[in-house]
Amino acid sequence: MTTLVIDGQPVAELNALEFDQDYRDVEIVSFRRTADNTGILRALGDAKLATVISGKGWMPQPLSGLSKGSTHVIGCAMPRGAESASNVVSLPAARRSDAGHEPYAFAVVAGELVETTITGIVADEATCATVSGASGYVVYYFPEITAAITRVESTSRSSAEHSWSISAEEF
Amino acid sequence: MPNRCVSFYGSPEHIYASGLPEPGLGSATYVAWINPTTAATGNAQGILGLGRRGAAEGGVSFLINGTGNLQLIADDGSNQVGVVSTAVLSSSTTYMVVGVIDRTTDEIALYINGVEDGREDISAVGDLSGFSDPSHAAAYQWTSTLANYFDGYLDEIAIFSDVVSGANVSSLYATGVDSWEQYAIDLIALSPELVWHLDETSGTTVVDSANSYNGTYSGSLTIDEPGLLGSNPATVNPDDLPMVLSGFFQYPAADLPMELIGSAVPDDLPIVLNGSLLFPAADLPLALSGSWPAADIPMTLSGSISSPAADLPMALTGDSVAANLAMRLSGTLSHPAADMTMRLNTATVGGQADLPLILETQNVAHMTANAARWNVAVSIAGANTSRLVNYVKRTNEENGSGICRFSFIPSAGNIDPSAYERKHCTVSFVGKDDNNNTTYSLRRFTGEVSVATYDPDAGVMHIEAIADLPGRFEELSTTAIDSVIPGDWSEHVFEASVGGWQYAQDRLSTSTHCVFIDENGNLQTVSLTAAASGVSVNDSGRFANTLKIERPSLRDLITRVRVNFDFRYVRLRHREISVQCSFGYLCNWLDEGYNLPSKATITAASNSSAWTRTSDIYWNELPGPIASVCTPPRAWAGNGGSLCLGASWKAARRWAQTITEEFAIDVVCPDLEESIGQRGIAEDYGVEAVYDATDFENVTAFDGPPSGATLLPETNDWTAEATDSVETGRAALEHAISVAIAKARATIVNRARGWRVTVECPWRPDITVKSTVSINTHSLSAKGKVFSIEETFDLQTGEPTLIVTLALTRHDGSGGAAETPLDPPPSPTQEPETNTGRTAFHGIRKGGLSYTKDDPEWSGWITNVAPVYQLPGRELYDERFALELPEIEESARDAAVIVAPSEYTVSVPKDDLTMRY
Repeated sequence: MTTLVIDGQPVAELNALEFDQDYRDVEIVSFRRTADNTGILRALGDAKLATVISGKGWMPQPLSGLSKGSTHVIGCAMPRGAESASNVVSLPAARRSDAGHEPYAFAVVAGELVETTITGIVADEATCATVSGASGYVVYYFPEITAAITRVESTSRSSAEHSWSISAEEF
Repeated sequence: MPNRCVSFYGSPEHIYASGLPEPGLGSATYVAWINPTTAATGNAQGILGLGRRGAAEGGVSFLINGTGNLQLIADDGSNQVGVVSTAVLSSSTTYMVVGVIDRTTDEIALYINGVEDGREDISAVGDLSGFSDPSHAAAYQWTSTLANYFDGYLDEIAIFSDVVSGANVSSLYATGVDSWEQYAIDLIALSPELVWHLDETSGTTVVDSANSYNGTYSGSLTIDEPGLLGSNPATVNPDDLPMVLSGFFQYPAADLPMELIGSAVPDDLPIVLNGSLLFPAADLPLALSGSWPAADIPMTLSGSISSPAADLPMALTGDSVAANLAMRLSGTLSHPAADMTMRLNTATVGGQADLPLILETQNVAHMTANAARWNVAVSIAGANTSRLVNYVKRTNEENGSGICRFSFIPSAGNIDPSAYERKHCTVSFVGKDDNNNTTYSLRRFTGEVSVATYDPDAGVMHIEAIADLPGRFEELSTTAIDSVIPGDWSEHVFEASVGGWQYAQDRLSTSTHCVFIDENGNLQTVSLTAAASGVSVNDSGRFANTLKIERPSLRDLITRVRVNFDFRYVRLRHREISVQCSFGYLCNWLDEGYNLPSKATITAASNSSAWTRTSDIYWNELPGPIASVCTPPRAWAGNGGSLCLGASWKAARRWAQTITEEFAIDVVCPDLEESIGQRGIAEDYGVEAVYDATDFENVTAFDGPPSGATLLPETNDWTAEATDSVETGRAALEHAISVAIAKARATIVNRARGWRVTVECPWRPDITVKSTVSINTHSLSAKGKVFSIEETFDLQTGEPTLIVTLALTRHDGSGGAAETPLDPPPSPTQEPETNTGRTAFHGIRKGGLSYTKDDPEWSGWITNVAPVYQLPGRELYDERFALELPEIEESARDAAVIVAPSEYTVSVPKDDLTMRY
């Protein structure tokens, strides 16, 4: 089972019996049209990651320490995928490598995902063991981002249901 | 160039280093030069040991075994295979020893002095990686014990991540025996991972010349021992370093701290520094040290280099030290690629990382693509300014300073905006690929922070930086500006100047050129006339609804300039006259008994006139004794003494006449007058030739006798114009007129260039103030030179844009006007003067014979007849000699005005501009 980690502290299982994490790319992009109606797309710098993490459990998640005035390191619990037509797949440097959260790979064979192994990761390039007939490879990883907490919410019910939500954006 | 090695003593002296390259499943080669004190000691002597042999981590051990054989052992932690040389090494003998792990053949091999000596199968050994640190030289580690120390000399240790062939091993050995320098060069050409020359002379750091695998000396070893390799120098051929810096250097030699150190002979370094550099000393810290092989550094920097400090930190030093070739040419070279024939070939003793060579260039394809990723980098005082916000905007236009504005969030702590001011500032566009990797950077602005203001509520620092065009000229002399700015200048057309921006502007006003500081901080001069071809912008290259057209106001257009030029100068004049005096004949005098003047009287009078006597006086003497003369006849005793009957001489006078020549020059553009009629302005200028005529007029020591007899009116009159002054003479006048005409022409042409066409495009780097741009859209076609640009890198929207304004020259004439060459008009000719008399006659007036009263205005000899001949009641006169010579007529003395009208035709270009619906 994967575990959400915030500032080095794993979220207790009883606090997150139900768990959701949404990802959104934050990117400064302009789109404008030239006089012949051709689209002009310009993107500034690197894309950043925004995420909304929500959970529900029997115990309230301790949220008072999530200061909005400082950065937080969030080890995400839900994977994101990176793909490549070759068996070498570029991964973001901001990813988890702790036990149980290492990247893992699949080959795309005839539209199906076939599990394969990662033989090595050098300079954020993951090399997958080749699979016969593969048209591409997908490597899943767990982001680990230094982020600003932009929103923290929690709801507790008398029925011992405690739900919570954290919104964060990568620096 | 050192050729040193290290001595070890078999006790715990060694070298240790972490993270040395491991073979893994690949190949490797280990090279060392050794001289063991005792080869067969009964114990192993480590040369190089990576990891732990005999332990779970495994390792590679290169050693001399106890019987004096060379040995290489590969141990993957479970299996180990070794190869032992057949040869037994001798004590106190130098060897080049090589161990090879060849995974292509799965063999392990040894070479001694370039000759193979031992080879074994290594297929039983697996992955040679994951070794424990540190690794060692002069020892190796057995399980957990570091031992097996080397006793003797070690030199030139190298590690390769591939197989060095037997041929290369043999060649290296032959070279090393002869020349340490050449060995180092040849070694590096084989791309080693690690090279320890072991030539340190102090400290404990063992420097890696190939990468950064530095080691540390440990124990009581001795460094700086004589090297084991040959000491002949490497070969350097002539013409190997053809370095040329030509262009504009404005500082003395001491401002270019160039060092040439090492074994290259002078002819090998043909370095030329010509011209003037527009920046101060220490901006070219150029140092060449060491010995360099042929053709390795053909470096040429040509043209105008006007970058700020630290933009050319060029250093070529040494032969194997990392980062010694930190050559960076960025942002300051405005020349085509062919001007930078820079090659660094093979034998540079250093890895690729040692040559951080950056040549910035634009990538038009990147920013004209439909989709592109980008960023912008700002540096203040050499430090990158991160956390930019809002936008970065840069403007540049003809004859104006470049301005760049941006904002950023400063680092935490106290804020002092003034600390940013007057600091060097650069802005670079950064092109990115889809993975956000930088593919190129391109300087967009180079200048100095002029104003820094801090918004404390927003926590944002706002910066305005300027590429100060006037400031660039303030320190320049007129000579330096002349070499940069086209046009011409005359002190009679402009205000007196010693240089600076005003002087540069004056010159520009006589030409159809502009000046600006480009994005790299270079001073650029470019013609205002559109080039035949240029950058094209069509509907696919500009944003919709961004075209704007402005036409010039009629009030700003000029079709003709009347140039009125006065030239005042002095004409030096010299006139001669004949003075003639006659006081009657001998018989008159005898008959009337009047007094004759003495010669002394006449002489005194001739010497006291405004006219200078230029000849001796010719006397009409009384005759000698005559027996019978006159009527009635009588005798003359001939004793006239000092009296005379007459005299004549020549006299001269000098004076300065003032001449004024008036030039009325019309500079006319017929093509413009055809369309808008005459619209003129007038410019008035003058030159006054400086000449002090006092000395000339006062000089009376005339040279030589006058021509002709004193009674003849023939004279030596002459004139000379005092117009040979360099600053104010006729040559200066003609130059000034040329400048005035050129200024008038430029005024007409530049004011006709009043059309403006503006368009906004996706940002692209190939359009600058220097560019000619063709705009071809469905509704408009235009071509002209860029007048201004505005680049905006919007960090909020992610959109980089470029607003381009073209300046167009237009007229509605027939276009048939032919340009008149700008030669000065010919000097006007003067009407000849009316001749005046050149003879001054003086006679005699005798009192006692008439009723005419004495008159002080009379000239000549005035006297009375003898009383016996005087008639009753007649007037008697005061006896005197009055010499009255002519005055210079007004027309020859006063100013003369001469007028010379002329007309020059100006042709203005007609740039393309077509509008349609």
